[in-house]
Amino acid sequence: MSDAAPILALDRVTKRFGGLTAVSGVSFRVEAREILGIIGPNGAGKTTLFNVISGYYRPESGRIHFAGHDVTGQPPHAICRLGLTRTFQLVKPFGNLSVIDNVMIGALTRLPTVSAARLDAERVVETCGLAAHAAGHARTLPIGLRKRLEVARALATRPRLLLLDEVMAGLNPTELAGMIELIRRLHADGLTLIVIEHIMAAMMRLAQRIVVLHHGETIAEGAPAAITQDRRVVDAYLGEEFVLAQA
Amino acid sequence: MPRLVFTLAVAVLAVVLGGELAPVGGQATSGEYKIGVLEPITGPLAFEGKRHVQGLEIVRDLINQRGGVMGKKLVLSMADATDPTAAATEANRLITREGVKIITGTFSSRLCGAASEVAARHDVIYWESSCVDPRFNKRGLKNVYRTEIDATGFGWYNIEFIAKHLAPRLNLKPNQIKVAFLSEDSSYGQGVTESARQRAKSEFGMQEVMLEYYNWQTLNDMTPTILKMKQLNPDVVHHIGFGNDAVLFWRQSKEQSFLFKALVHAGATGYGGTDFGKALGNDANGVFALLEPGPGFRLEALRPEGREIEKAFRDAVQKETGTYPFGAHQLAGSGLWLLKLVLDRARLDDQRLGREVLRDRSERQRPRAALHAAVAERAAGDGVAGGVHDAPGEVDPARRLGPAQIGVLTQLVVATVLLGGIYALISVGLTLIFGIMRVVNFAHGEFLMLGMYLAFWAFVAFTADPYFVVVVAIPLFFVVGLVVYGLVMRGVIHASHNVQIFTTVGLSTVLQNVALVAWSGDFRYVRPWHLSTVLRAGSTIFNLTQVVASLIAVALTLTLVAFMKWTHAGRVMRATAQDRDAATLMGIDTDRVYRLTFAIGIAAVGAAGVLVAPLYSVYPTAGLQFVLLSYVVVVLGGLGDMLGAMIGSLIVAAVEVAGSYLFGAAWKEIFYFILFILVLVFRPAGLFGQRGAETLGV
Amino acid sequence: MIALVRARRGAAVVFGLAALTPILVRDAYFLDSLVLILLWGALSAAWNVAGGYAGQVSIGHASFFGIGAYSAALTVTRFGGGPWFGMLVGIVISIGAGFIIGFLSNRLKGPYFALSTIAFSQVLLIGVSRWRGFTSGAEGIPVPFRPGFATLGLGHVGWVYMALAVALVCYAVEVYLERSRVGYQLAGVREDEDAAEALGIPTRRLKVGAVTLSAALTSVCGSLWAQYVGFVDPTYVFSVDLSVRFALNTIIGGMGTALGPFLGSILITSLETYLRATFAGVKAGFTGIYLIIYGTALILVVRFVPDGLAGIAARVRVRRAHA
Repeated sequence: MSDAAPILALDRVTKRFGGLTAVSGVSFRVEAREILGIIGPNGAGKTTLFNVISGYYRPESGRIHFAGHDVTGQPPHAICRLGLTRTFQLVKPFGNLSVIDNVMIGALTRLPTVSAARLDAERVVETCGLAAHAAGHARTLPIGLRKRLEVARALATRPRLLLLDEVMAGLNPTELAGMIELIRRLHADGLTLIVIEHIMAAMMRLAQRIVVLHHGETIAEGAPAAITQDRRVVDAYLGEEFVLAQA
Repeated sequence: MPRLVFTLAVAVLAVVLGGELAPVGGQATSGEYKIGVLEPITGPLAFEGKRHVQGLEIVRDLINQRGGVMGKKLVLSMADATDPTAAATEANRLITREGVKIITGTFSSRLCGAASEVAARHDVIYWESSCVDPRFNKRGLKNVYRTEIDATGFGWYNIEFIAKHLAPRLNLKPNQIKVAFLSEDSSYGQGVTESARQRAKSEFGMQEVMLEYYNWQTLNDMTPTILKMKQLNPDVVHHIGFGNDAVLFWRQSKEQSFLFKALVHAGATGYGGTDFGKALGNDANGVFALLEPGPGFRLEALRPEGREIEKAFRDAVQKETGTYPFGAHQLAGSGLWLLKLVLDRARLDDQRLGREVLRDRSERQRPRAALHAAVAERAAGDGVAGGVHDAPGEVDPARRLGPAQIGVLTQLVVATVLLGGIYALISVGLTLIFGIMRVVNFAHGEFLMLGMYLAFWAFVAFTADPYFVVVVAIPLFFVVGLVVYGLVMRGVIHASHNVQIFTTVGLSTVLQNVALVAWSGDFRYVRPWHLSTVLRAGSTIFNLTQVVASLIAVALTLTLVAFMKWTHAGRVMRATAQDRDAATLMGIDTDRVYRLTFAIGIAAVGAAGVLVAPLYSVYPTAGLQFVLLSYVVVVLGGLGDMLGAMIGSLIVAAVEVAGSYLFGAAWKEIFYFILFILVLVFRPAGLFGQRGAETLGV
Repeated sequence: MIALVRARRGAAVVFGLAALTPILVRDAYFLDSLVLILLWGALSAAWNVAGGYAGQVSIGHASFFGIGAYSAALTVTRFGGGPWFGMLVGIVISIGAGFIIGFLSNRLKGPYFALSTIAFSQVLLIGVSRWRGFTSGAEGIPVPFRPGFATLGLGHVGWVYMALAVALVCYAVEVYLERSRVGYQLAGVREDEDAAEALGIPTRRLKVGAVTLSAALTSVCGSLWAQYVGFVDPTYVFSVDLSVRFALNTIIGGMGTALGPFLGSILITSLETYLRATFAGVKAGFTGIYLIIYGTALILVVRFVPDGLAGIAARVRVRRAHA
């Protein structure tokens, strides 16, 4: 663990919905330029955690620090302007707008004019491999490209920390490889990422560190290799078959 | 399809622009004299405008039979003043396209106000026959004339009557008389009442014990107001009513044993309309109404020429419409006749007319003062039924009935429960549709309106009692629901909110105007024999019609709850409501579910319309007030929870009754609108829905 | 400039023709109809700012129209001020009302929001009708006509250019919302609020801003209308019918396009005035039919031709370009 200030720090964050505690006392840190993975069974509270971090929900208790600011309870757009952007598990493209316009709207958060934003958007579209579809309406895109658009749009906001929520789900093997490649590239360019994933193969190749959630609590945290052998993690989520397959 | 629409639009545009550009008219061919007629022939005031037009056309024919105007045949050029904008535009058209120098009309101050301004700018004479706005001829416009006394006059004469004719009979000096002012809330009611109040206070020092306005269209129960008035104990009630409110007040005052000494009214609507007598029969006697002109108008008081033309007029109206002339016929017709007289005398049709008109005025004014006195004389001589007590010292029977306060509270509670029942009945169909389909149907009120019309036509055609008609209404509206679903609703279930909103708004517009075109904007009434029947428990009154409506509401709600809970179809519907996609995956044909739901909901609201028809006036735009009310109930109760909706109805009723009693009937709608907004903001899931439920699907 | 005109060909044609008409046509009735077309078009464009561009569909815009009309009328008749000042007062008050509606738009979605806007306009209607001492209640206020520009006492030609000016302002606002940074952000809010929020767009602020701007523009038109028609009464200026009309023009013309509201107004207003003039003499039947036509048109357009007339025109243009 480095001594420099982490880019993101969660301190005993708890989120309740009526009688249900979705996230319970979760704490962890994310260092700059690392890729943190979050795994766990369905209903473990992963997306809820993202919602809390990015400002869509206000936690009942606990604090969230991002880049030196206490962002607990701040609205999502303010947190985005500070440099934290998230994507959605069920993608939310601006369907009636063109792909380039979608990305441009992201860019407008940082750039004051439409023309500058458009130039920037073209660059991002190129980076994310969407150049061939730039002029089409977002709603005409198949799921694989929609996922790319989701990433591209978030990227245009020039985040320091990007939260990706199951961005691999629904992709075929080729698209999967492409997405992993993209994320690797973004990381190499200096982006910090937190990635929620169910596809363990992808997770193993991307994450430098993994946090495991179960029933809203962290049950394990550490390097991927260690995690896959942790008894509790295997019982709760991975299953014996996974361990055997890895071996 | 789009190409077709576009072509159609362009074609329409071409026709319209061609029509607009082509100049029309100009002054009529020689031998004819054209004047413009500006009346509301469409829109909310059309019911009155239509009669004006009838009166004008009849008098036009009478004029032409007697040599026309200035020796020429009189021709009327019609223009439709639906609203103020249309009034101004159409006045413009009459002046610039038709080339008229005189326009007559228009009875509503908002219409004549706008149109006369336009006329003034073009030096065209505005000959107003029935607008009573006192400010009409006080704006410094030199071209406006009015052949009708204004509201100030009405109020003035009413107070004159009370002070000079009623006071002595009650053995009271004018400044000892306690007056309660009650009025419907339109510009007419306000104008008359305010001028009456002013004269009562400043000239005679009468004591005003109450002043209250209300919206007659949304009123179905005057009990709270009457209870309040009972406690204030006025001698005279000055009530300007419009339609059903007059009947309600008169009847419910009797029910509640509110025995004031006299009631005074002015105008050919409400107490002065023929409907009042029709509704109450002999019980209608006893009101002192200033009608100009009206049934009390004595033909014998006119000069022979006047008598002849008046008789010809009445016969013609009888022949044309089958009834004795309404006030509207009289006002418009006599206005036109006066115009003819003036034009014949002056032989010119411009600003110089003013001098001629003034000369004529004093002659016309005399019969009016005589009119009121005649009514008063007759009333004094006949020993009036129901209204006036001969001995002023007589104890108010109401006081004998025991502790007044408890009685009032009980009656208010009863009023709340019964009103709540009616509102529940109206809302139960919407609760179902909204709860299962999650579609906000803005046309809900229109189906209720159609149910009311069904009750009306069945009553007129077969004298069928609404309680029998409802048996027919349920299957009939069920089918209507199926049809409307197939044609309109099916396509929008899965569409965006905007599509849903505007489709149902469009549907609402279509239904309203189909009713308007088919049945005209006249206010209709359904009055079965049991309308006035009341049940008594001690000193508390229960109106039978309201009781039955409430009981049926409860029965209907419980039936639907049982249906939803215990039948297979009901369970299927509930499942679909909770998760449409899961339901589909379970093999449920959601289309059939929605179709059934919608049909049941429409059947319920249609039946509700039939049952509440006796309590309200029936007219094409009646739906609007009910749709908002229903949504308040549904949202309060919580998104499709039937029992919650019943409680929601009670709450709305309580707000209304308490609001009416404490603050005045004028404010009751404001209370539940504000309640509505508050609930939407703070508890959109309703009082009984699950928090967060409002985000499901909507 | 040339490029702008060429890019906005449709608008250039429409507004250009409007500007030329008083020179070519002297007929006062025709000019009067033109004033109405432009004024209703401007009102629909103002509605479009909130409804089409920000996605906040309100059926209560008559609230702002009435506020503008009453502000102008009361300032002139009660306080002896000029209608221009009254217009300013109207703008201020309607901005306040816009904040309230904007607040509601952040709490309520879709049809719920629409219902609340209706309730709001009815609250205003009832309140103004009862506040007899100040607003003359249900009797309404006659607005005097005094010739001159300062008192907005214009002739027919003057009114055409006045209405054209307002229409152009509303059109310019719409165009700005199509091309500017804030306009694109608003498009994001309209498409998907949560996603827009995640991208750093202050959605709530933008929605309130759009509604308030829409309210102010509507109010300006209301003030002008009061001087034009000369009579303000609560039952009309706060009516649901008027609110529906603003939306109707826009939807048929093309919601979310700058010229759409004006195209819709051209079609609907001229159809209405034509039918009313033609059928005024007919006793029964045909009166009210044009409203049935509108209602049906609304149902069909919103389902099958959601882009409205403007969309169709665009498609025709595209098809011809490819041919």
